[in-house]
Amino acid sequence: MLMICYSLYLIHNLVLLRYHLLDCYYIEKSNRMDYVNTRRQAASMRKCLFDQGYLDEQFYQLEDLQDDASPNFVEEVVTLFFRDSLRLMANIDQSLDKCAKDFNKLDVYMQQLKGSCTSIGASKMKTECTVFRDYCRDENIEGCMRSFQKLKREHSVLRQKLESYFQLLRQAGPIECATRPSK
Amino acid sequence: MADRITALLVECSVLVRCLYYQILTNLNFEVVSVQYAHEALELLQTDNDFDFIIIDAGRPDINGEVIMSLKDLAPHMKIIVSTFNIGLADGLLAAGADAFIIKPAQPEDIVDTLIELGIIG
Repeated sequence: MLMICYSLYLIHNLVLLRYHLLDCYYIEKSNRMDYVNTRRQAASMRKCLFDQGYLDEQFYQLEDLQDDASPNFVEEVVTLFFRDSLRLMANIDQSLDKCAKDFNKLDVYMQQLKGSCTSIGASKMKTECTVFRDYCRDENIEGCMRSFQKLKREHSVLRQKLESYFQLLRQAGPIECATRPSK
Repeated sequence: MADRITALLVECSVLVRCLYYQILTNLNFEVVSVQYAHEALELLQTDNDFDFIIIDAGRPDINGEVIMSLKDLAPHMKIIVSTFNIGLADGLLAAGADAFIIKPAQPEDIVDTLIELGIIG
């Protein structure tokens, strides 16, 4: 009688263990699918940034520089870019607000901004910087103002898109988290 | 163990400085970076043991006189001018700079330049 009870007890525990293992398997499978989907979304977003001309091959160079010692290098550089570009755009705004327009000063600021855009591969912004500088050369203040408004829009759009992209990457986590531990 | 190649980086843009620093450290160089020319000149007065310097040509404080001062303080150090605009490099090359690279320089551009200057084999 005792043996029968003990056997039943063992069988019960085995059944519980089986369900627990199945739960772990399905949770891990679900997590893996979430990871794969998030990575896929990030890859698609990245592709759009290039296809739509927001980024150029310089961004690939940044990605190539990222390694295990600097796993967040690209995001750090992009963050630096947006901080730097906001400062430069504030300077340009102030200069455009003044009654006496200093086209040389505007051109210097825009040259710096264009340099920053080139450094991270911000292609549309870089193009608009060139347009602005052409207007500076022609001392066309209306052209400068129109171009600057467009530049600010491009900046805002790029910032939103890149922030979303990096958020997805952070959600997905580092690539090695997705691999099954070796037996 | 062979000494590592040492580089001095002078770049006012924190973004470009960060990029170049990453490129140079990935190439296994020891890197000291400063923002302005006067900081580099002050540093070289006490420590001039750099194999090369990459210096930003776009700043108004970088001119022929600075290049000559760098040469005086560290005669063996190769001077590489970094610029968005080739025209800005001409005067500095005439003053004694050894080479120029176009921003944003890629790792292979820097390696090719260092090979031409005989800093790496």
